[in-house]
Order: sequence, then C-alpha cells, then structure tokens
Amino acid sequence: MSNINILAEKLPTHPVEARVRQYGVKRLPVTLIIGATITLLVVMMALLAPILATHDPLAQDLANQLSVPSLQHLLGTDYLGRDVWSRLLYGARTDLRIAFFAALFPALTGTLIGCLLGFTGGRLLWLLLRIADCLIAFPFYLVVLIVVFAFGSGEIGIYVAFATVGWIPYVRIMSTATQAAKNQEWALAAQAAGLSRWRVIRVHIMPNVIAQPIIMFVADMVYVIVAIITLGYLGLGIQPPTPDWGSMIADGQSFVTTLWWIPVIPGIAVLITGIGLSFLADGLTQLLRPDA
Amino acid sequence: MTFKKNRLNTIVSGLLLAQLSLFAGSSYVQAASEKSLIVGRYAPVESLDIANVFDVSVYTADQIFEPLYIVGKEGKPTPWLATSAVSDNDGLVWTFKLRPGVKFSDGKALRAEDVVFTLERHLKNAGGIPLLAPITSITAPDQNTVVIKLKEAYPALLSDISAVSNGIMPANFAGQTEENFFRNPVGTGPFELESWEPGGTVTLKKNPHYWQSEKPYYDELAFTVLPDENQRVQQLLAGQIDVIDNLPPVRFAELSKNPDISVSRSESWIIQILQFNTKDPHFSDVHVRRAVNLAIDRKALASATSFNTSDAATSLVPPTVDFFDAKISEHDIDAAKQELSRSAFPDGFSTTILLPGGDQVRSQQAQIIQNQLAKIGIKVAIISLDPAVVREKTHAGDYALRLQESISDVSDPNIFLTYHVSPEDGGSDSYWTFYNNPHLTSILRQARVEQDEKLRGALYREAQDIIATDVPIIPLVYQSRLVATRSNLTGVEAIPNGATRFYSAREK
Amino acid sequence: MTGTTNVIFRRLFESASRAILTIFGVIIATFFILHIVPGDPVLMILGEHASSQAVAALRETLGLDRSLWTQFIAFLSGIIQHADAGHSLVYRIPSSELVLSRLPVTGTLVLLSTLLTVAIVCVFAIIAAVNEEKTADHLIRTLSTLGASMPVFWVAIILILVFSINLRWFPVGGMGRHGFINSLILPAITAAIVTAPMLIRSLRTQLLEVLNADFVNMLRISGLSTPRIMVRHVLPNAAIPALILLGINISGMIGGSIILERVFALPGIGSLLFDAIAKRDFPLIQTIALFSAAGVVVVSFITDITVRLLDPRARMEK
Repeated sequence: MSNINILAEKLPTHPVEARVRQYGVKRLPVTLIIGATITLLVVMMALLAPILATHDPLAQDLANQLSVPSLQHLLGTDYLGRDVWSRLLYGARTDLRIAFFAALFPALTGTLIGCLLGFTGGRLLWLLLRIADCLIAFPFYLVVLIVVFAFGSGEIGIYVAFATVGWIPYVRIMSTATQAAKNQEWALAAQAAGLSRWRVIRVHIMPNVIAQPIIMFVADMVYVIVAIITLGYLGLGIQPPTPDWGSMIADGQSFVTTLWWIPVIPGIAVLITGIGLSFLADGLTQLLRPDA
Repeated sequence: MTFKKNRLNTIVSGLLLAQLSLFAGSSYVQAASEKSLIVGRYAPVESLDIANVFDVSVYTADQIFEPLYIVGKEGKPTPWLATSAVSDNDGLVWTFKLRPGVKFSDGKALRAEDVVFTLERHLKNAGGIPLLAPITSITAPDQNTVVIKLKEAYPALLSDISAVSNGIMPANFAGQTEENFFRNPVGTGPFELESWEPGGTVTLKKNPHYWQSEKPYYDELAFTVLPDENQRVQQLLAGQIDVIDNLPPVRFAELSKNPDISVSRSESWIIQILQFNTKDPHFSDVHVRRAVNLAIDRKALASATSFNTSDAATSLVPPTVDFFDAKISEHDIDAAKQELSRSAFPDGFSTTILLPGGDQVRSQQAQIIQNQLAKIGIKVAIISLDPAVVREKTHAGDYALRLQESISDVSDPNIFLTYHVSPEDGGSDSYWTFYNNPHLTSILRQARVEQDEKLRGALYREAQDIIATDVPIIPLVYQSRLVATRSNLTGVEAIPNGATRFYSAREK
Repeated sequence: MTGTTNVIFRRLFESASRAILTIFGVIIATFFILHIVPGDPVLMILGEHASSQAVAALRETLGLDRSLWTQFIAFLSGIIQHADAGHSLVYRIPSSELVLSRLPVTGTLVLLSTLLTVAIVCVFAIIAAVNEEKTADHLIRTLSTLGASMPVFWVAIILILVFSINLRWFPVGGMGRHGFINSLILPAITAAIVTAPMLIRSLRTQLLEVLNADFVNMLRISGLSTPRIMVRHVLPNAAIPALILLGINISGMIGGSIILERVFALPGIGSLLFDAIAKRDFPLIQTIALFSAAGVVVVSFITDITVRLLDPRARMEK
C-alpha cells in the first residue's frame, strides 16, 4: 500500500539525533523545506477556514445554481447554490482530518505490534505475517468496496477500510527493522545490562527505527486522500452535505467541459496537498537516510 | 541481462506501430450507419425473461416480445397483437381478436394458444410486473381468438394487459427448455437476439418476419453498458453511440445547444417520492407528516434538481394516468409550523433520511429537504447507503424517511395506488410505509371493480384526496423522460412507462 | 554445486508453500466475509415489487436457505472441481465462465500497463540518476510526485479530454468497433502514469547507490562506456527493489481495474466485480476475488523467483 521504497533502504547505523545534528538547519534538504511549507499552508487554510470563508458552506441558494465566479462568490456556486470557495476551505478540514486519522490508526497499531513481535519473534509473528499475506492478496479497492458496502459510505467506512489493510506494511517493515536492530551492538548491550524488554524497545530501538514509519505515515495520508476522492467518484464517499473535495469533484464531473472550475479546482487542491505531503515524506527520507 | 532494455524498446515500438496501423482506418467516430443503431444504457441486462425482470432488462426484452395491447405514445392501451377487445355487459368475459399475419421470428404464425401459454405462465410465476387482474381462465376457442374470464369486473384489464411484461412468447417455448429459450428467445417483436455478452453488450438483429412491413429500418440494434454518466454523454458526442434514452437532467441544457445532438423531453409516469415509515415514533403522527409536506417547497426542489426539465408533483398519481387529480397542499412554512405545533413534537426533533448512494439527483433532493425541514425545527441526518442495503433496511422497516422513485407501468391507477397505499392488496405493506387506512383500502377495492367511468373517477378523486390529507407518501417531482440522439436520427419514441421504441428509427 | 541447488530448491519450496497457504486463506476469507455483509441478493434480483413468496422461492432455488456449513461445502467442492464458486446468482451461468470471458480485456490491459510502466520507469529513472541533482532530475522527481498525488479517474478524465475529445486520437471509451488495442491504450497510459512515480523513485535511489559503488568505479577506470556499464551491470543490481515494487503494483493494477474500467467503460473483470458487489452476487464476487488473489500470488511468486535469480550473490555462487 504505501511507500515501500523504504524497503530498499538499509537500516540507519546511527541514532536519529546524531544525523540531524550532522545536517544542521541550514543544510536541510530542499524537498523537506518545500514540502513542509506547502503542507503548512494547506493546514493553515483549513484551520483558518471560518475566517477565510465568505459564506456558510452549507447555505443553499436554489435560485442561484451553478453561477460563474463573481465578486460575491469567488469561485461561483455549485448545483445547490452553495459557495464553492467556502466549501473548498471547509473541505480541506474534512479531508485532512480524515486522512490524518485514517492513516494514523493503522500506523500506530502496525508499528507497535510490529516492534513487539519483531522483538519477540516466534510463532505469533509468523502467523501475523501469514494473515497479512492473505489480506494483501485482495485487491485494495475490493476490500474498500466490501467494507464500505458493509459499514456504509462516509467516514466510518473509510476508517475501517484502511484499518483493515493499512497496518500490514508497518508490521512487515517494523518487525524486520526491529529484528535487525535488536542484534546491533548497542541493543545487545542494553539487553545484557538487564533492561526489560519494553524498555529496550521504547528507549533504544524505537528511536532508531521510528523514522521509517513516520515517513510511511506521511505518504499514507496522500494515499488516503486519493482514496477518499476515488470513493466519492464511485458514489461511496463522504455523506452529504459535508463539504469534501471528493464529493465536489464527483458532483462536478458533469461540468468538466462546461463549468470546468467546479471539479478542477478541488482537484488542484488535492494535487497541491498531495505534492506537499509527498515532498515532506521525500525530504524526511533524505534527512534520515543513510549515506548514499 | 541486456535483454531488458533492448527488447522492451522493440516491444514498445512494435505496439506503437501496430496502433498506428489500426488507427489509420479509424472507424470509431462513425457508429451509426444505415445498418446499426447503438444505445448506451446505464446497467447490464440480467435476463431476457420479460415476465420476470425490470429496468434495463425489461426495456431490452420488450424489443423482442410484444403484448396484445401496447402502451401508446400518449399512454393509452393501443391494439397491437390483438386488433380488438370486447367485454360483455358485466365485464366478466373479454374477447380478444388476434391480428392476422403476425409471425414469430422463427417464421411460425402467432396463434391463440401462444397467448394462453404466456399469460398463464405469467400469472403462475407472479414475477416482474405482476398481472393482478382477477383472471379465472384464459382460453382459445379458435386460433385467432382469446377469451379471458374474470372473477369480477375489472375495468383496468386492457391497461394491465398492455404492461411490458405481458409480451407474448410461443407456446411451450417453441419446444425448447425454459432456460434455453431465454438464451435464444423467439418473439414477434421488431428485433431478435443476435449475441449477448453476459454483463455487457446485447446485440439484436432485425426480425425478418416482423408484422409491420418495412420496419424496423435498422438491421442491428445494440445496447451497450456505460454506467459512468460522463462516458455515456461523451460517447454520444463522439458518435460512438447514437442514443441515450435516460439522459441525466443536468446535461440537458448543454446538449440542447449542440448541433450534432437532438434532445427531447416527454411525459413519463416516473414519480419521485419521499416516503414515511408510519411506524416511526415521529411519523406515526399525521400532523408531523403534514408539517413535513407543507415545509417542502416542491417547485423549487423540482426545478433545482431537474434543472428545469421536470415539474413538481401534485398528486401521487402521475398526470397522464387516468383519473389524475391535483390534490397536494402548497408550500407554506407558517402552516407547517402550525401543523407541527399540533403534534407531540412542537419544537421539532431529529431524524434521518435514507437514500441510495451514487445517485446525484437524490442526493441533491435530500440536501434540499434537509435544508427546508430545518426551518421548522426538524433536523435531518442524511444516510446514503448502497442500494442493496437500502432495500433491505426498507423492507425491514429500519428507516424513518426514504427518498425513492416509483413508476406506473400502465395508464390505469388501480395497481399503482393499491401497491403504494394498501397493505395486503398491494403485497408491499403499503410500499413499506406500513400505512393502513381501511377506508382508503375499501375505496380502492370498490374502484377496482366499478365499471361506470364517472363513479370510478369520483372514487379515485376521493382516494387522492385522502392520500393528500394523510400523507403517507409525499410526491415530489414528475420526472420527465429525456432522450438524446444524434441529430441525423429520427423516429425514436419515448413512452411514458419507461419503454423506448426503435422500430421506426431511421436516418433523416 | 549441490549445495546451491539445494538452497534454490528450498527457497522455491518456501515460496510455493507460502503462495498456497495464502490462496487457502483467501478462499476461506472470501466465503465468510460476504455472508457478514448486509444486503440480500434475492431482493436485488427480484426488484422492489417482489412478493414474499417470490423471494422465498428464489432463495430456495439459489440454495441460499441452506445452512452456512452446507453452503461452504458446496462452495469448496465447486472451487476444487471447477475453480468456480458457483453459478452467478444474477446471470445463472457458471461464474468462472463469466470471469474467463472478461479475462482478455483486463489481462491485456494489465499487460500493456506493465510494459508501458517498465519502459517509462527505466527511461526516467536512468535519466534522473545520471543527472543527479541537476534540472532533469528535479523535473522528473517533481513530475512523478504529481503523478502519485492524482486519483486514477482524474488522470483518465484529463487524458480523455485532451486525446479523445480534442485531438480525436483515441476513442472516448468502451470497446466497440474501434479495435481491441486501440481502446486499451489510453487506459494503459493512465495506469502507467499513476504507477510509475513510486517505481521511478525507488529505481533512481538504487541506481544512485550502485553507481557510486566500488565495482562500478572499477569498470569506469577499465574504460567501459557509461551506457554499457549502465545496462549490463548497474541496472540488474539496482532493479531488485524496483521489481518487488512492480510485483506489488501489478497486483494493484488488478484491483485498480475496477475504477479504470468504469471510467473508460471497458467490459473487463473490474467492471464485472463492481456490478457483482452492488448486486451481492456472492458466487461471482467470490470467484473474481479468488482469481485476482490467485493472480496476485502468482505475480509475487514470479517476482520472488526473479529477484532471487537476479541477486548477484546468488549468481556469484554459480
């Protein structure tokens, strides 16, 4: 599912702090700066939506459907006469929030379980990995469709769908990374000194392997946003009337040759958010990667 | 390991060359020739057993099978495979005379025993659009006459017989097994089956023995499956298909301006409704239902969601159905608030509205209704689920409000009204509103057998009055039929019951 | 030599048994999951007007009223005997027949997409790696980030707008009289645009690593030309992680065909699946799920073997 190019990476040989100190702020990778800036911009617009919006995103004006951008409505109105600009801003809130949490749950659970089982190893890990094999054999959208048909479209469906398959890459990578890390000198030393298993994981191993899941999480958010949009296209997206980019694009599809800004502008918003997050993930990778 | 890059290059170049040669003879732009007509539909055909299917399947099977009387362009039952139908004075015995010279696509002549077989089968299976007339026997005194005997007078007989699912098939499936027959159906219709990709395109070819001489003009009629609305419209614009017979209203204006496309708008018997679950604690109270009815601005809703192509509904019965009488109360927010104050919930309440996902029109309607009801203090949460779940929940009574669309298949209101507001007679627990009004039920039962037109009309007017007062179902919009074709095409007929006729279609 | 052969066989056996285990797990999962999901296929087939007798009768005809265990046994025997989970509830013909009739379209689409992806990835990753940190590299990386952030149907709509509607080079969609391959080119390009970005990134990273390795410097010093070094020595070594990713992405394409086929109106397995899910056609959904899971497993198996073959350590052992 996510950024498995990390699979290609070798394990960092030094703790994270050493690496950051090595770079210093001035030598931070460009992609990181660009990515962080764009992402921050989008987040700010979402947070400031109540201030920046010119209308109530839910206010309908049936006499004024599908109007062209004007001074009163910066981006025109949609098929219910609602202000597109305001819906765009509030849509950012909806989509970013859902993307964040939908990507977070599997990231947290997958990482914790992966670390724990990677450390202890044994049959449980083997079983979990085999279950993961089965789940991943199902095409992702097949799983999403089934979950959404079962739980209904909208937020809950999306959370469950991602929780069902999202944890797998984290478990796989974390268990491998943990297994490798635990045999490193400093980890062996900690264990020999008699520290508890949990302490070793939390204090010594985690900081060194945490970089990868963080990067994967950021990349996953892009994936979730794209999936929300795609579900909207299939008619299984966020429940109306909540503003969200996916339903704006889906509802606006009929106008792509006439009132093109209605589907295209939310699409560009998705693109910008995706680029910001991707560059952020990229930058983090460069920052925390071993020398190449 | 040098093979990878070099061979790849060869393969890709090879493909590009192949594509160039294919595209040189690019024939995809011109689809309609004298020979074949392509219709883009939104769902696949599931079966051609006309007596047991609905929607897309039945509107494809109806090109193959024809009924005794057919729904005409204005909606009235018109002689078709039968030339006349006469009833005796009590209305208990109907005699149909068959049209001479009608042949099935296998060349055999139509005989009365085919009619007997078909109708008896339909009565027994009770599938599809059921034949609910109180028929006691169907006999064939001679090869060209069919006699139908009824238990009681049933003035709607001709109209019910004209329903699409009563298309006539050869007796005993012309010697085939039932299963095989519907894979290679034999009918009297203008077209017969040529090929069928399950879940995909159904291609029909001209019936050489068709009883209307010179028709159909096209040798081939194909129905393709294009669930994506954009694809359907784009393919029409590109000339890859020739007809869309269920154009989404939002594209109507755009296509009317296009010189390559002709659009037409006609009456239909499709009605969009908002139904109540009368078992719901809030909606069992008639004052609440009336309040909701008064709070909805139907005209604004209709013009907004149909983009000015459909009219607001004024009765549960569609306008061109017999005995239609406009009865609905007009939009009035103050009256709505008053009505609500007479109920047990004068300050409003929270409830939900159920609708199938993926349907933009219904989603629009739900949001408008949500907005309008908020003005009288009713907070509505929208629940859009996939159609299978919606159906299940509705049948189980697990909903409060539901947006739906219903269609009258015939011009007589008997079946339509009974189905929607009579619990047992309609077989659907009053369309799953669980509404039970014994007085209304008895009026409908009387009207069903009343032979005098005037008296019958009065009964149906009273019925519509009761429905407008009790409001178990709120009629919202009379959905027009919008058909778009390439502008060089003429003769495609859109019928109010949802059927489309292609036997007169030809190039200008 | 015997030692190496043993190792190879053991690894093959491991991969094979893992594949079989996965397929078995998938079979069980498909059966039970569908019976948990709400929605009644009988109601979908019979429509709104269905009377309760008709519903009960059809349920019996379709065998849906039997106990779960009985249905499961029937399901298993169908799979083992015909690779088929039963007759489609909607179309009443064997599900495997339906799936196989649609296989050419989806199969060709996946094949075409894969070839295009490989071509694009190789070309761009090499250009990017060779021009590290220069304009070409930044351009390629930015473009590939763009491709990764766009939903498939969005890319499709844009391509249709430009190439089908404006330029009229390709059909708008569907599979009609305009030729089999012709209808699949735009969809394949769409799939490639969405799949390539991650692979370009991965291959580029690996290429950079290998390019800076000692043995490559040795080759340079000994006078071999750069293109030759690139293709003969660098690419095979760097390709491994990208191949793993490609395998994963081919599986993704099988699932992504659901959306791609809908946008382009292609009569493939993806559109069949979407319709089947909407109508709760259990046997058909199960058969498709099985076919695609099997496809995924086969692809990973092949990827697994190819990687092990390409692994320079394995080659050196010979």
